[in-house]
Amino acid sequence: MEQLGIEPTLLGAQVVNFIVILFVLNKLLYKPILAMIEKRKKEIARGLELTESMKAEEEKFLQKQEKAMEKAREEALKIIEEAKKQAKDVEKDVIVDAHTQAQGIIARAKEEAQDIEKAAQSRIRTEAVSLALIMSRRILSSVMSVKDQHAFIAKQTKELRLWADKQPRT
Amino acid sequence: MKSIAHDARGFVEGVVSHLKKSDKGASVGLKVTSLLYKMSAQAKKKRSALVESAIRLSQEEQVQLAGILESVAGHRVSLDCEIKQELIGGLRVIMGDWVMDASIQSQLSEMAQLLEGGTA
Repeated sequence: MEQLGIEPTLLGAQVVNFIVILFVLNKLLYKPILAMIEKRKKEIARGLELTESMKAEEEKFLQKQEKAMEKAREEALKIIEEAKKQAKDVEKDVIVDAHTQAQGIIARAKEEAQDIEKAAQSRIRTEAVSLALIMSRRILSSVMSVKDQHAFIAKQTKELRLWADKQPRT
Repeated sequence: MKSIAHDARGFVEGVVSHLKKSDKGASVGLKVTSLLYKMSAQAKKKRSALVESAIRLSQEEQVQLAGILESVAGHRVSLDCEIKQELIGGLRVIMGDWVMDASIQSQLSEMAQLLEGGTA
């Protein structure tokens, strides 16, 4: 051993040193590092799990959102269709009302026009008759002589006598 | 308008035509008997009658008229004669509530009412 340049004492001491260092390192460095690495691994695994679960949650949420959007779209379409239908109904009602009102207005206007026409005709007729009456009075007054007057009275007296003869005597 | 003018012209012509007929002795206007109704007891009690005419009645006409009224009333009836030019012709006799209006004016008014009613 000595021929090889190795001193057993030194080698022994170095071995002891190495063992001591190995022990110390094992105790003070490797174990904490390994524990830290293990802890880190666990944290990463938990993080990955959390990420996975969040992804799943997000997927669920997206699906729910999609469903809700689809439902909302269907509801909106229904509402739009209903509104269109109601608008058509309202339009029909408005047209019917307008038509009815127009008919009423036309009928009233016709009645008023007829009334005005009748009133005008009546007024003209009255005036014409009044004029004719005046003319007749003038003509008769000028044409009837005193002889005609007495003849007329004689005729009336005769008819009055006939009537009186038929009356019960008191 | 045309019909109204025609009515008015017809009205005048009709009246004049009636008048011409009277010259030939035909009936003038409505018959007196158609204008009369039974004299009421209240009218019969009246001692006087109002007689309206377009001309002054002769004595003979007044006597005849008084005689007729007396025969119906059953007692003497005096006549209050009045001249009313607006009657145009004929007589109007008023005795209480009894009225006999056979004047040409009333006949014209009746014809005018018929025309105004649009029935002529």
